[in-house]
Amino acid sequence: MTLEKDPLNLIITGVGGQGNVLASQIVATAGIKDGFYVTVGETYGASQRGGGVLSHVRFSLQTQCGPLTPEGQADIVIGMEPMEALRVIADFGNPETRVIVSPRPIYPIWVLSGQATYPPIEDVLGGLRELTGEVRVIEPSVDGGTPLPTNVLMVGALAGSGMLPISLSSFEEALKEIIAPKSLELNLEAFKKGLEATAT
Amino acid sequence: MEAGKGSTDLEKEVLNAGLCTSCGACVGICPYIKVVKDRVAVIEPCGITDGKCYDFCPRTLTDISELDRRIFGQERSDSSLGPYISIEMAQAKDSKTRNRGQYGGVVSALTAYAMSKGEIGATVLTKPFNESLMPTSVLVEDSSQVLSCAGSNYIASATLARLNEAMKQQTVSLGIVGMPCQILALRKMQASKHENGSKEVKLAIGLFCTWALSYKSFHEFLKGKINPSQIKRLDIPPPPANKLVVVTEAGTLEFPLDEIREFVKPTCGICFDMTSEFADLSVGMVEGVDDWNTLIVRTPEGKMIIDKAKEDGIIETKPLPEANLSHLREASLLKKKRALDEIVKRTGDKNNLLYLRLSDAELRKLR
Amino acid sequence: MSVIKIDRPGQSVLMMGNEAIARGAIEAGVDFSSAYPGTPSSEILESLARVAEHFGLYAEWSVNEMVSLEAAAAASLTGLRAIVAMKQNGVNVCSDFLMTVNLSGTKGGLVIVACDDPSAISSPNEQDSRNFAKFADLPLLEPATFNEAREMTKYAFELSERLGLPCIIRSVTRISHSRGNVELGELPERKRSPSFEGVSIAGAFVALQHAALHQKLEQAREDFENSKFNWYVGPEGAKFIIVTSGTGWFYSREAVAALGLDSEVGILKIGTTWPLPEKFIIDHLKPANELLIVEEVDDFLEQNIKVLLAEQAKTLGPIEVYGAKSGHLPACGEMNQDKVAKALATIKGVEYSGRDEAYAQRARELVQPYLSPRIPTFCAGCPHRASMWAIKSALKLDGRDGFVTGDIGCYSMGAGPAGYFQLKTIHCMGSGIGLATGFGKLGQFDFNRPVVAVCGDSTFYHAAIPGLINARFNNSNVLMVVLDNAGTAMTGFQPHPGSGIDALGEPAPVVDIEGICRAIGVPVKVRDPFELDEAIEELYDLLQEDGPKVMVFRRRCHLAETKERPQKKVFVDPDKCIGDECGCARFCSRVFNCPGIIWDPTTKKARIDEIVCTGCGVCAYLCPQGAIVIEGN
Repeated sequence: MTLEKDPLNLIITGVGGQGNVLASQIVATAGIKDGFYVTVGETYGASQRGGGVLSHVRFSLQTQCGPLTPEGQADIVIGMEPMEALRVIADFGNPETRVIVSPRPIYPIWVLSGQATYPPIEDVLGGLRELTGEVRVIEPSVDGGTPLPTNVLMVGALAGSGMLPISLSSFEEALKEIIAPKSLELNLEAFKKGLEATAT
Repeated sequence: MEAGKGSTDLEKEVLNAGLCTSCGACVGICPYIKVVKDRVAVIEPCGITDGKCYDFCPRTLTDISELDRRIFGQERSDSSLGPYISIEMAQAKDSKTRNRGQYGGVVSALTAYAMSKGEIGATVLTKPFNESLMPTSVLVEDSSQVLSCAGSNYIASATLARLNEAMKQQTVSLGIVGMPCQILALRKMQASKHENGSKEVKLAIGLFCTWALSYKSFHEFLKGKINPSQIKRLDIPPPPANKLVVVTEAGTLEFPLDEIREFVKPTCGICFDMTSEFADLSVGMVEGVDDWNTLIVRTPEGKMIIDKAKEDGIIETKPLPEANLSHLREASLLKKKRALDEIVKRTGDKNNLLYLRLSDAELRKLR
Repeated sequence: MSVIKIDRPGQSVLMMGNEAIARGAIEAGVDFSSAYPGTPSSEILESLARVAEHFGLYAEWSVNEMVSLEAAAAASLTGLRAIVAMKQNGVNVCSDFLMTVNLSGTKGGLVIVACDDPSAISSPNEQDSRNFAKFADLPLLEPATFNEAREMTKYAFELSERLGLPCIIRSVTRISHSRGNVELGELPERKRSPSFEGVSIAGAFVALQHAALHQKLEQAREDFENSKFNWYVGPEGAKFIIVTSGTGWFYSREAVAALGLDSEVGILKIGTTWPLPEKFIIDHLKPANELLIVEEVDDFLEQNIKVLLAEQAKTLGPIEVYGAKSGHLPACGEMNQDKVAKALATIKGVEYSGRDEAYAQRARELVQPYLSPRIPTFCAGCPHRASMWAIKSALKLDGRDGFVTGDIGCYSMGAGPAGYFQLKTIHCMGSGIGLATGFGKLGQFDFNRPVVAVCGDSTFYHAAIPGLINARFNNSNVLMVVLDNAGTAMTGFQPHPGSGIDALGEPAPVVDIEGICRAIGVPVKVRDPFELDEAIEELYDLLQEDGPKVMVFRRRCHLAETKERPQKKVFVDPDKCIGDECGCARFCSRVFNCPGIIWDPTTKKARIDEIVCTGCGVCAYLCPQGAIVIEGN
């Protein structure tokens, strides 16, 4: 059990309603199973209703870290929404940061109302590529009309990427503990899809 | 017609300026303009700078001569009553219709007749009292229901809002019975460059109108005296009675007209039209004659219906006595002159006539 | 399975701070728990309610924090252990009782958990509840980690019981709502039996009771001198010491490490922040000549330390104190590592930057043109959106420049674009109707603008009823609109007296809102806000009436609804959608602003975002062209 950097800082970002909290809980639970100190700091509450959501997931072998990643110190960023990912990079990114991002936008109220325009996705991804060390784009998949949950799909992609030293079995155990039985099957499928998307 | 104005201008120039007649022409087209009772409001600016609402409104710039030419093919020669083919007295032959309807029951009889003959498929009418002082506009699709809308109310209602809604769905030809401002708005709709269904309106029956009451203040006034939801009939008997008769389930009350006048909508003071000058047929009372109507036939379409209705024994007509005709002219002319005075009083400028555009010749005759 | 139920002592599990507090209460053998929901405190009672049956404890959602504390105090007075949890504003609500139960004293352990919200992420203020501990002469504990939250809660019960005083735990968002490793302790077996003999009644003896209270607090101080929640890390004889509490511990330690100052800066972490363990602190500050105080929100620790330094000036000599007063750290907003590091760097005269400045500059540049802030809005399908539109419409139609006083709940967002900027005031629970009763009595000063007070269903029970009674008693011209979405939605849809279920999900009697209004003597109408035209007309009609009147807009929170029922599919018929044209002008996407509707600039048509849409169908009602279709309708 080693960490390339201690603490190792992961940030999961998206928009309220996308399931940020669940995603960070799965990753953190898996981390604790593998013997890490894990701290998850998240913003929700008012943000639950369509605002941007951030989950800081910080891993250490030495101590319990604080719930917030310091400026510029994100090692890995999972973006469930592309513009939110770019926003996180602006505050927490550095040239070595690695990014896993969904290219599917969720429009803010100003864009819906036509008072602002959402930038072309390629521009957003271009910005991410310029500012970070690695960008992996994960298309959210729709399976037979039932959309797969983006949060677990992205967790799968993280697990498959090998960016975190957490075992696949811990991820799967965490999923089974946290996800309600009635939606477990769909989530395991999403996890698998994500895993396949990044596993080399 | 002036181009390039929208709901924001309508709000500024008409609604906030106290010119709104609550005709409903701007309501029911879009989600931005709403009416409750006789209050019309722009809820949120829509951002459209060339809108139907502004174009249809009877209180935005209206060129009388141009409308005359469009509807009647020529400008008016009669400055007091507008263009017409004939003026007569008329009454419904059916006594039941006469009793339910106002005066001679001609409007109800003609509407039901036009529908039964298939001249029009449905009619937008106004139900005067529906357990409320406030009239409600209805789309009547069966001629047997026409009589339930008979009678006058004297409260302005947004009848054209119902027409706008009907035009969105209805493909059949339509009829409408309305006040002069509503008929004017209908003609502006039909003349508009904006596409709308108003060309399907094949029969426009206009009513005589000297003024309408504002719901809110009149309702306030009545509230302490009667239960407004029990009103069955409002009536203004011919002069020299000079009173408003309110018939309710609990009894009848009379109010001197002078007491009522403060509840007249402010926009009625600048109204130029007493006899629905742009209608196919205009109908009103005959002074001193209870169960007959004055009938002004203005267009060939109107004439055709009248001729058929007479032939089929639906209505009968007889000449209007000269004294009545000259009385009518005087009253109409008086309304126009008062309107012009009031407009100039409001604008403070002899050349600024608010919504009215009159030919110099017309203006000279009136002044 | 609930994480706080696990019976495996010694195992490390991931827990939210609030769960850790609940677990601590379980390990202390808590018997009675009560709360009114409020971010960031709600999960404490939620967690306890979930295991209530399992552990044989009692859990209730109370009508407000005052009643909640009183109910818990009753259990304590019989010798049972009780916990009550609330957000910072709730402490104000229960403060009247707090300022007397300290005098009467308690019996079984009574723990009050106050969860503060620095930066007011989900609150109308960011007040620092620690001041209440000092104000009420009550012992105060501040957890700095998740495991400490568990341990402190357990200890707080023991201390409370020993002193016969309620004990306050002050948490903050970053503890309550963060997650981390928590080491499970033993689960207790002992059960308590209640008995009650009455309490000493205030009156002629108040001053004596007050003196006794001070003595109890002195006992607490002695206990704190040897507390495991206070510690020092750093070099021996450090000249520069950071004194910190709560989350400040995390940030201070990381800031010292980031600046590489481990060998010269010490950290004195205090977990028992009132009364201060004076001897412990003095002992550790002896070598120091500079202090930096790191804490969240008010300069509570800073001021009390300064008093101590003044008292001990002879022993300690001159010490420079940095913190809020010196301007090195803010006395508002959340603390974080960067703020502490920058303060430390400034004082120490060293450079600090989280990353290369040129990179940071470029990052901001790249992002700048794209980033309009993502403002919170009502959920797709939220009934409040329609209610706000109805209120806006009715006020516009009324035409007398009427306005809305707001209250606390999801609908507080009505002050922003989500609610068409309708709310003109937002203060505390119940203040909407309270303010409105005042605005409604200003007619004699020629202020005749109509006033509409909005209030949620939960807020109605919590704090709005006295305001409504006042409106009736004084015949104020107000229209109260109760936005009844059938639960305490903002905090996670907890049940309330109108829900028909209790904290455990068991059936409960319904307290009828209209019935209360009618009993007060106020006319009341009820309407589904999705029946917009009727809703607007009814609101308009009510606005024309003098005196107080109530409109209940009743429709269940759609977020809750979609969890239980399959949602309908909604789509836009592109042939009917007229988009930008006169007659619509993109009403659904541009004005009504439901996040489930997207404007597609290429086709110039509206489109339903099938992932966001919850199928409520109100847009189909509103579309002027009938272009929005609900499948199956």
